[in-house]
Amino acid sequence: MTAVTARALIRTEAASGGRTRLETLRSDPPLTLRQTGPRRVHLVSTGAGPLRGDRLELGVDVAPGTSLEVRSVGATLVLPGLADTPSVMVVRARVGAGATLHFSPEPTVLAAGCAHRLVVRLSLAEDATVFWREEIVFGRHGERPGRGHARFDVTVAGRPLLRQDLLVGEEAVDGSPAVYGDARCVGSTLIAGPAWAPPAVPDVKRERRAVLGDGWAALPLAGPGVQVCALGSDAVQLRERLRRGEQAAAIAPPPPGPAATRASAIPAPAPPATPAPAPPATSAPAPPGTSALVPPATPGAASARASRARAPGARSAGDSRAETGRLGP
Amino acid sequence: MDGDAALLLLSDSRLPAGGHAHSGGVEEAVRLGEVTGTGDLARFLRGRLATAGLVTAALAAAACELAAADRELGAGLDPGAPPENGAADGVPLWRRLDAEADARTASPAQREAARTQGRLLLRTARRMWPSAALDTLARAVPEGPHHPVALGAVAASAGCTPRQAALAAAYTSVTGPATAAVRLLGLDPVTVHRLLADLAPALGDTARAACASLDDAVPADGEPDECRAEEHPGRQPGRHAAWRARWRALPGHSAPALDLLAEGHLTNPMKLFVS
Amino acid sequence: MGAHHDDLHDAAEPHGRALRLGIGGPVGSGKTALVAALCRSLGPSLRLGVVTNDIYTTEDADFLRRAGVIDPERILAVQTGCCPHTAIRDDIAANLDAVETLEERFGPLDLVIVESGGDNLTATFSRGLADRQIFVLDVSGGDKVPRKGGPGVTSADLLVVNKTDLAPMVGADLTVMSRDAAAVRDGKPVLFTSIREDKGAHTVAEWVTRMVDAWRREHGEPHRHALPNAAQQAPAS
Repeated sequence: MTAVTARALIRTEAASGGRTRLETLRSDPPLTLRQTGPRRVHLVSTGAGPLRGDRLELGVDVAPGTSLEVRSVGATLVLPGLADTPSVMVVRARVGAGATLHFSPEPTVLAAGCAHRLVVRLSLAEDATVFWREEIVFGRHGERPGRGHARFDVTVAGRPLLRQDLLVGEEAVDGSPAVYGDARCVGSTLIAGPAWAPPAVPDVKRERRAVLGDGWAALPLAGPGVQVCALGSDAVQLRERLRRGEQAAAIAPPPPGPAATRASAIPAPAPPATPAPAPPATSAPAPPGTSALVPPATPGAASARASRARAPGARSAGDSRAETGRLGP
Repeated sequence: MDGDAALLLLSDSRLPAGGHAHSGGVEEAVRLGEVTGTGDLARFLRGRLATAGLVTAALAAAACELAAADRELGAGLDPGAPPENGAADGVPLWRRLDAEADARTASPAQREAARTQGRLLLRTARRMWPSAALDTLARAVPEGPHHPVALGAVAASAGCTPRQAALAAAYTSVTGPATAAVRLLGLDPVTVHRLLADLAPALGDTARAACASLDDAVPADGEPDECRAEEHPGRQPGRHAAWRARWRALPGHSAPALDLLAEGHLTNPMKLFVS
Repeated sequence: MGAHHDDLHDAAEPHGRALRLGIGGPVGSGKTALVAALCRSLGPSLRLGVVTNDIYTTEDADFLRRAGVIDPERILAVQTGCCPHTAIRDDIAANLDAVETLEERFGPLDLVIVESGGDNLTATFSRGLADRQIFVLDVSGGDKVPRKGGPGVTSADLLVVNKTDLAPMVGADLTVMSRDAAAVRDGKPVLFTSIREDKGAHTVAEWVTRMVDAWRREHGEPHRHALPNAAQQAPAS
């Protein structure tokens, strides 16, 4: 068993009529890419792993004005191997001006004995839009997880939006009620873009409010984005919670107010489907989750882009003062 | 200057800077039954130190380093004197470091609590250890910098090193929650202090790791760096880029449970602690 | 930071800002009722802000909001981490921040009332936080309380004895309370009231008005550095 190094690349370009064309689709086994729609690519794992010592890199380059959706056919099972070094998966993605990227692979499962490093570097242009979901499962059913360290760096026009590390399988964090509690998996979805920018004239001592559900929260970031974070006892529950959070986040975040909104205060989403391993390759309506990619279809949404004002209707009670304070400098 | 004595003052829970009213998620964890006794509390504190503790320690070390540089730039300036170029130059850097703290704090409830604590600490420290760096920081982030950013700047003004600043941040990341648990659960205070004593080696390790992360200077894999010359017309853009690069790779260890606890805490109408 | 003067009241620079009035006293003596009464009496003539400190933090603020005597946005609640006396005496940073937040948002203000959480007879306000302070007792604690003294009773600028309507029922002798209070208070005023009967606590309100006027004469009109707020006065309700 020898360590594998692979470099795969997806690159779009703008075609005539505002369409997106896949300019490059370079597979490098075990990272195999298949085009499954006009703007959709599936990662198809060929071969087991990654295993310790493997180094896999995926580059994603979404050209200005284009859009791309990246999914995977199945979960990634990270396995132990003979090498002393951890397996490494690096995803570098650039999303150009006015471009849109939807990235939602199936979960990464950290099998017992593995040592895995996941590095995501996501660079967004000022008005790029992204939906990025990551799910990590702590071992196969009934086993203790291997060790994992995921690092997620997101910048918008070079400014930091989100920098996070997640450590799994370390003594200090395992079973800590401060970190994962008794959850068996953790996930997050970043939804970012100009429609999620904070108000131009914020109340400096108050933040936008989160939407909180059972085991999940949609957290408005300091910059133009919302992160849904969720914990779950299994991958199905995790996905369901993330979906609920994603739906809450698709509505622009509640304005500053006395407290977070409980999820019961927002319309309950339709019962989520169980994670579908491979959606059919049609060009028909966006698959579940992508709805969050577009700004909410409310009357104010169109102007929201320009004015950075928030879409109306999501205002919580008792915050009229903060609202009016934002209308003008 | 030997900052040992200043470090004691800075990390003392009696420092009048509002820290006593923050439980760091413990109040909500107690309310939800996730922390019920010393066993849970020990795991809570260890996990908190490994995540939020490490991140705040690294940010505090970075801020201490920046404030010390600011002090050198502003050497000879009387505190309160009109800022010279050196101090004015510090404003965008402090904003950037504060933005790095924002990027590591996804939960708005936690950002708000961190800014409240930072604002109160800065208010207190500007009277205790007045300095040009603290004035610059207050001007750069008028709504209140993140607590670890304020803590690092204050530590530098008090004569502490980045490692001492990191240690103070790591220490306060667990002592506040521990004290809150004593009050909320009626735990034996000695038992809880035993937990803290057991964490002492980990506190030292955290401070060392935090400082080491400053020197990691991991090339950010081509991460684009903003180049906004208008922020500092004609002034050492290279120096700014070097600082920014130094902060990119700082740890961002997140604790999803703490995020959920912080947001849940805000909805509790009967809360006794700010966070 | 211009806070290095040797004034007896060593609060933040007093020039051109609101008078900060602390109201303290034991649990149940009627602090919140007094705050509501003062808002009722003074709201039409003074620009007010209120900071509450309570172990059950938002309860007092909610009481005041329900009472409808002041725009709810002008009430800020401070959490004290189970230590109400710490927040008004040993570590006043959070309360100062709340006072200044009100002044930033609604300033200029004439009077900011800081209500302490219910505590014991030893709890007093730091002079760094309150320019003047009122200590509230009630008769049902027994007529010996003033004699016992304690920093709250002896040092407050005004001692208010509330619930005088209950005196006959609890066997409290108001004459004894008055005499004892005068003895330990070195001539500082004592007022007896029943806020249940006098919804505006008018005698106390008059004292506060005199304090605000004196403060203004000494330190000038509160600055108008913020946009004038149209909804200045307490809403009619």
